[in-house]
Amino acid sequence: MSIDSSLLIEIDSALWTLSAVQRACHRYSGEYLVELLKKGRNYEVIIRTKVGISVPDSLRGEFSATLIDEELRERVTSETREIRERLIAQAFSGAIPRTRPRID
Amino acid sequence: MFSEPTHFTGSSSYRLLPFRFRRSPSGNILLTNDVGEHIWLDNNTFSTFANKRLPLSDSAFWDLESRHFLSRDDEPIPYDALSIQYRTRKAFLFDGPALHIFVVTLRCNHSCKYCQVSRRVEDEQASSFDMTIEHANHAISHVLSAPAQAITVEFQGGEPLLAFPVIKHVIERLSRLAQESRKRFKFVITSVLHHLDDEKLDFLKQHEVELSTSLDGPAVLHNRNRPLPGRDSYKRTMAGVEAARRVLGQNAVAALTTITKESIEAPEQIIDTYREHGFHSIFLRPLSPYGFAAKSLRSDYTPVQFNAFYRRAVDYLIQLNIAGYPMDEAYAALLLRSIETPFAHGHVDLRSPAGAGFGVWAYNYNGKVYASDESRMLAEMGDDTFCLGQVTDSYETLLHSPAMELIAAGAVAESIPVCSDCAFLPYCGSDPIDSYRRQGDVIGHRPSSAFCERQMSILDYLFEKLRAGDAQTRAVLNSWTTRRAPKIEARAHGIASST
Repeated sequence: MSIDSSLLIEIDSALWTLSAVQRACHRYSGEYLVELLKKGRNYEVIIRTKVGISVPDSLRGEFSATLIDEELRERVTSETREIRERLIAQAFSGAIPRTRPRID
Repeated sequence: MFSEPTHFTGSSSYRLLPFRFRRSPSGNILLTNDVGEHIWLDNNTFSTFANKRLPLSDSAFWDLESRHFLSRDDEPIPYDALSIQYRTRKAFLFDGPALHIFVVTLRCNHSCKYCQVSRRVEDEQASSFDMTIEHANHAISHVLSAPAQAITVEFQGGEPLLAFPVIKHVIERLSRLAQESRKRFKFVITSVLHHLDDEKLDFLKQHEVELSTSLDGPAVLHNRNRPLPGRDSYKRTMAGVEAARRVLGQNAVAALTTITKESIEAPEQIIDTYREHGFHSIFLRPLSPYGFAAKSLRSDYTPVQFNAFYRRAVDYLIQLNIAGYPMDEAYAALLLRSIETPFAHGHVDLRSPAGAGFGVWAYNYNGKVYASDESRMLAEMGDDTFCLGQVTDSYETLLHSPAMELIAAGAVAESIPVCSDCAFLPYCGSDPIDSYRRQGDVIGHRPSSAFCERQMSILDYLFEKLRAGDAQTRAVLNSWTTRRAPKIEARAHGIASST
């Protein structure tokens, strides 16, 4: 068990997008205080507990796993964005009120 | 009609279709898509699938294809089928406000510790705290302006039966106009049922009015939560239930329980009380952050405690069903229908875009119109943020009010951080009023949201039961989906049945 009240995670910005890092940080912002900094080519994530107790050692691995998942979510969203948009547009294509002129 | 043999042995190169995923506590991964289909994968299969290396020889490939998680490169994307499914799940959007709440009075004879409104005593001068007929008529015109053909009109209070003449007027007028307006109306009265008499019951029977009441559990618990000075609330409510059933039928009264600190340790006793009185559905409703309940929230239970209570209660309910007594938990049933069927349930508290303002309007006794019942409760606490306007305003004015614009900013879960990536999104919803009340803005902060924590706990629990529960458990949950009693004897052979 860590005896530190904060955890510092350095993230190589060449490997991970800022958006994925931000999303990962956001997920932990309910339970912890999370600070995101840019130091040279790295991001620094500093995680502190809200009640001043020590941060568990397992959190480093959990955060890394979360970051991998957020990167995957970004990729899937990017690859499938046009499909989703077309699907929704087609689903509601008949929703324009008949009393209004269609704008084609 | 049939695909060529090469379809089943050819190239497996594919593209991903939109999906979201969640790693469950069990270690498996739940995938869902925008049309509400879902599939479980283990970690290796998921990784292979996401990297577009899943071979045709893997059975998961066929499941993923049939449930629209992937589309082969040499096949067209089934936009027509998917768009119909998506439109079906969002069908409630085309109805506009389909639930209209008439708060006919603020008068009440109870002093419930968790009351969500500032009540007025039963004998207080009616004219001050009852809805006027003029206001009711304006509200009726808004009901008729809504696009929906099937509309629910719900009467609330205070204790609505104390203003029965207003209820009678609204029901009679809407019933007369039903054919001309080509609308079908369902009428519901939420009441403690202490003020029923033969005349009222005859009227309710004539118009097929449904009743909803609160039953918090055994008499000791119910009376503690709902003090009635000098009288026995539990006894009078049950007397009202029996009277209603004699005239309106066995299933005429629905009941729900509000979970308080005293309830948390007694899920089995609460459910047993419902069973003893012949109910076949129970709604385990947590405290909401409005009115007197907001003041007691600090000393009441945590989300973790409620979630543990809920799982224990539903586990007990499932065993009760297996033993031969059909009873569902109403909220679980709603979620299960969303998971297991392609249809929209449209429940105003559990949809995206949110139901507040878009699916429900509440007409307060004083002539103001609110985006939801919770909005008007907020107003009773001094915050009129979600007042759409006056009942005398036009339908269009109310629909385009600043309050509606504010709600819209937090109404679409697909655009809210964390919600937009959540695997439970197709079955969940946005509640901008709740976010505003608990967290100060209509979008809120999901990682610290009690609503989100509760939703995810319940959905994790239900999905795990569906994935890994035994055949009898799955049969019970399936019966809640269809609202039919489970054929438990068929379960002994591990055979699923939906009738």
